[in-house]
Amino acid sequence: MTVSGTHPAGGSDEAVGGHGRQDTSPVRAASGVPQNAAAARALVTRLLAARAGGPDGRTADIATADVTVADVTVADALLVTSELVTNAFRHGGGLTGFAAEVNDEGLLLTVSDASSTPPAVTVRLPQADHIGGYGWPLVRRLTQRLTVTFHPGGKHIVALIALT
Amino acid sequence: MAADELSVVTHTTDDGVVLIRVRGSLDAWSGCSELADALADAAGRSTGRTVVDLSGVEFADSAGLHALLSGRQRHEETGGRLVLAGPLGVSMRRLFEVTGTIGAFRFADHVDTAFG
Repeated sequence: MTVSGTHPAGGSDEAVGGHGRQDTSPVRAASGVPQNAAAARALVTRLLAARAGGPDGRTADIATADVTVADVTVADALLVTSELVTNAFRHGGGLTGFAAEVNDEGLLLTVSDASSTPPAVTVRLPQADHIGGYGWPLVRRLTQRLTVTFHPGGKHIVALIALT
Repeated sequence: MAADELSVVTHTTDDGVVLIRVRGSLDAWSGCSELADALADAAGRSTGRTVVDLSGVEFADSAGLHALLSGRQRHEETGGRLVLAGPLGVSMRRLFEVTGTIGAFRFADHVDTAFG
């Protein structure tokens, strides 16, 4: 994957949606930049609900699709979403782009921020003086594919979460 | 209450157990520090047992986990006993599972059985 060029603050759908994705994805939701993690989670929840209920999204009850599998899958997807968006705000100089789409491989999240610093990978044990550092390992654990691409104005993190 | 809001309410029972009921979403925006403060305050009391009712948590990410871990640490420091009460929602459960922190806490199936 090649991404270049600076990313405009408040990135448009085009800015975050042009990463060589195929246009065959049945559902796509990229709309501006969420103002916080809850807003991003709401977007992903709607996207996955639309997938469960068909492309029109009229059936919004995810649990009816497949109770056991879908519940955990949705929970995992929302966890990854929350961690990535939170990192962008707290450590990445702000969220500059957010896109979520479902394709044949699963749920593809693209989260862009304004920092060229790699995500923190340090894991501290609960016994340590400072408690923290669970977010990024959690993201790595729950994603099938995770790529970080740097560009002069920041970075894009693309995360694939399997939905089956 | 909106899904992205958090409610942390602390009660103290007649026998001195501190019960902290958490409802809503535990993330970096929703005031996890409020939970961490409530836990630290509970740990500072001499009665020894704190029960956190997590059954009303709809979503939690690592910010919520950090608040709980910090509360656990404070209870260890003061010799208090921290019990997390369910039933846990799928989001809360996955957070503990995926981070491997289930073993770090003492759990009760329900708040009613957490006082024993």
